Amino acid sequence: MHLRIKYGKTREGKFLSHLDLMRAWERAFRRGAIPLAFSQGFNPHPKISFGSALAVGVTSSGEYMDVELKKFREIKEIKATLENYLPLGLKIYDIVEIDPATPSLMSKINRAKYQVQGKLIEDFSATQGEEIAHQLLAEENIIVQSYSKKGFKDKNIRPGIFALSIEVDEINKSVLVEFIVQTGSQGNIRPEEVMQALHGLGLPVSIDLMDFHREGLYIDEAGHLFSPLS
Amino acid sequence: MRKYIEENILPKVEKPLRYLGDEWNVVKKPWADVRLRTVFAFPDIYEVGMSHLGLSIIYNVVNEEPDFLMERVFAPWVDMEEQLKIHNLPLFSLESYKPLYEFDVIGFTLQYEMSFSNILNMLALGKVPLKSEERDDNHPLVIAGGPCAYNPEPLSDFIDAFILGEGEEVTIEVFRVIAKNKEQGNFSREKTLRELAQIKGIYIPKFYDVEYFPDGKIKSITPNVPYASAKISKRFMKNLDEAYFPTKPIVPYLEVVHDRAMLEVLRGCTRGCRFCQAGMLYRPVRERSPEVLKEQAEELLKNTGHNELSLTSLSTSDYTCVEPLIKELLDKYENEGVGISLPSLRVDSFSMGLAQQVQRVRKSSLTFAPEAGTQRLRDVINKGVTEENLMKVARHAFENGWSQIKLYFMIGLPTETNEDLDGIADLAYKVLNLGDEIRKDNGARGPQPKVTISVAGFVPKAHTPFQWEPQVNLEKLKEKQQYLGSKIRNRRITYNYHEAKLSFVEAIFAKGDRRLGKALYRAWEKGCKFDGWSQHFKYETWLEAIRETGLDPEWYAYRTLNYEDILPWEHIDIGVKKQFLSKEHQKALEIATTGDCRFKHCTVCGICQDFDVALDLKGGK
Ligand code: SF4
Repeated sequence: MHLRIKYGKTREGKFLSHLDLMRAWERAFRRGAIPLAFSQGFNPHPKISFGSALAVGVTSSGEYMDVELKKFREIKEIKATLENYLPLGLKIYDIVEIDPATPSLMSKINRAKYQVQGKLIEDFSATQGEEIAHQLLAEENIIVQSYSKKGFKDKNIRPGIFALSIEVDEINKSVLVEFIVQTGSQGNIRPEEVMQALHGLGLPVSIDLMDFHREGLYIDEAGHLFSPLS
Repeated sequence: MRKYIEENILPKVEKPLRYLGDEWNVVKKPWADVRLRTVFAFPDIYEVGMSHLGLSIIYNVVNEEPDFLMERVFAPWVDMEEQLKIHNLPLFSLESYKPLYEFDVIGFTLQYEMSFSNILNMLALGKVPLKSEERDDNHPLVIAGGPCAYNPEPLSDFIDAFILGEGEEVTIEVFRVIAKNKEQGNFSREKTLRELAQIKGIYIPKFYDVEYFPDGKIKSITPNVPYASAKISKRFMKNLDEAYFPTKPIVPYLEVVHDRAMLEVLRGCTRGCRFCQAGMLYRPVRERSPEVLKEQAEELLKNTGHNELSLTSLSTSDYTCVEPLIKELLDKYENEGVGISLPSLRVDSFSMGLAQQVQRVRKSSLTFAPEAGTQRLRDVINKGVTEENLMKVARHAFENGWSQIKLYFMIGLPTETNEDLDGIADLAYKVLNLGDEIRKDNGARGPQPKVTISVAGFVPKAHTPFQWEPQVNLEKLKEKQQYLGSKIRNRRITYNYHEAKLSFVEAIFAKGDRRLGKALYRAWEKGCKFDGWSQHFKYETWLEAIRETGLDPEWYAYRTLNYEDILPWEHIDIGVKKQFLSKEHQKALEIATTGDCRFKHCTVCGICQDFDVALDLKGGK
């Protein structure tokens, strides 16, 4: 039996790394005695595959994983069991049974939508916010310093940004930035990189104290966004 | 406080999950619902502490009592310490985020001497006065247990009460006394400590006076109050099947050092290696029956979701029921993708049958500990392993698909010469050559064999036959390391050795007395912490600190003690008699070996004669 699960990482689970999260899922299945299927070989691994790794410090309400079970179980029962055995920080939204031939999440997911929220550290108006958003979208190239294992290098993130809006709450002096970016095997834009660009354009925030949330992962087909569950 | 830390501090530190106690099976009790609030303090980082079975046992046995709560605190890593200081926040427990100073009891576990500076640092960060005499009736009681509590003297300025021996029963007895005193109002530390001193296994250093001779040796250790007994005997569990065992341990989110479910198959080891402290401290051998272990395994896997079950003990391959147990566990859990693992195996009890089972066990690298390079020296240390044993096991391993073998040795052992060091190199080469031969016979398929030799400097430990021996001096130890290095000229033999300076400081404390407390305090003042972590170990600072307090580091590590001398741990009774230890020491110098009481006759070490306990082997003798 093949399942696709939509799940989230809540505030309590914010600091879980991708590896921590994978271990947590396997253990929840085991505690719930949901019969995972295993790979063959000396060190058998459960057949669980994830859509896209989520960075430490980022919460999410739209992550996906595919799981293969050895035996059939009712979806309702699986969901209830997992809810019982998941540790704090992980949450299930939906489970569907999928055709074993369904292409992998990894091969299909190519968009991620983020919401980044935080305090404004200087006076800043709603109009100024809109202006910066326009300015960013009007640029052809936006070069940021991207950090990888090999060190810092320049990266043009503009082609990977598909939508962006900035909402300023003047009364509470806070800001909400929403954007859709490229993710997956074709290239990956990190939300901090987009924030770094906005900061460069004059958005008065301290990026490392903002709340980063991934609203969802999507599949873009000919300009339309689909949920991996559909 | 928690929200503030989560928002302002955790994003700035490495591995924030070290400080977030929300793991599966964590126990959080409302403070108002209990009579006594305690915290288990592990003086190293989370990943090390959470791999420790003792923490799990004590944490759960205490929390099963409805009247008590126990939370956890680990040594904050240096980045976290810096953040706490910047934000002027005290060190807090993981469960309720309460500062250490709000607890009734702080209980440290003493696993290795080089964590002592972290104890002081954690108390200071928790805003608890470091010295016992500086704490008043409103401060927490600071207690400690674990293997280093058997020579507690260097910590006697800082710890109010030590628990000697296995803690599952006595901890509860101690907490009952403290809770009762707390409830009566007008809590008095003095009165509470007086009552604690009357519990078997409890040592309260301030109730003892130590006198010295002009040459620095100890003249006497005597109780200064009538209710403190002259000798403090260790506590132990008579019957392991009846002892508490936690089957709902905490499951960390973070990958810890031992990321697996732990089953404790036995306690104690009577092989009688003469350098080994654990082998003397935890006598006699007491095994758990396979039926109990199978039940516990089932519970553990169900409650944790771990995919690996480790059979732990000082020497699991000596367990009399090890083969059938492993076979049954594998048959039962293999299909669920659960692996069974064994910690380091003993060469001498590694049978054909076990080898066959181990084939089905996960393939990690195999480790063996011959400890010394020649038969002569192995006889001196009473390590009953022959070269033949080792080669037989190595053959099995290579034939069954292992390509890496790890060998543990010690250098600087009593009576050691260069010949013994040559012997280490020889063994490494012999094992490697054997691997090459076997690979050739198999058509040279698979990875090339590799051997790692890991070499530690010998540290004489309290309560062992070698407690009277000096440590080899630092220069000599370094020479030995280099000499051995020069004998190994093959890139498929990896040679690792421990930092000699660290072994030196360890030796000072391992045979230390209570005068060292001042040196420890001074070292902490000068910033010593995480000494077990090579990047933080400040050797020069340690020496300065010891000298500034008027003590001689070399005297502590290099002194030879006489049988008549009063040892700093003379008042601590582990059950094994001093005469037994001195006889063993003499036999060592005569190159005579002593058998294991599990396989031959009782060698009258004293524990079963003087204490109400006996050898308990489930598979029979
Ligand atoms: S008293 Fe005898 S049987 Fe008991 S542990 Fe010592 S040597 Fe073994």
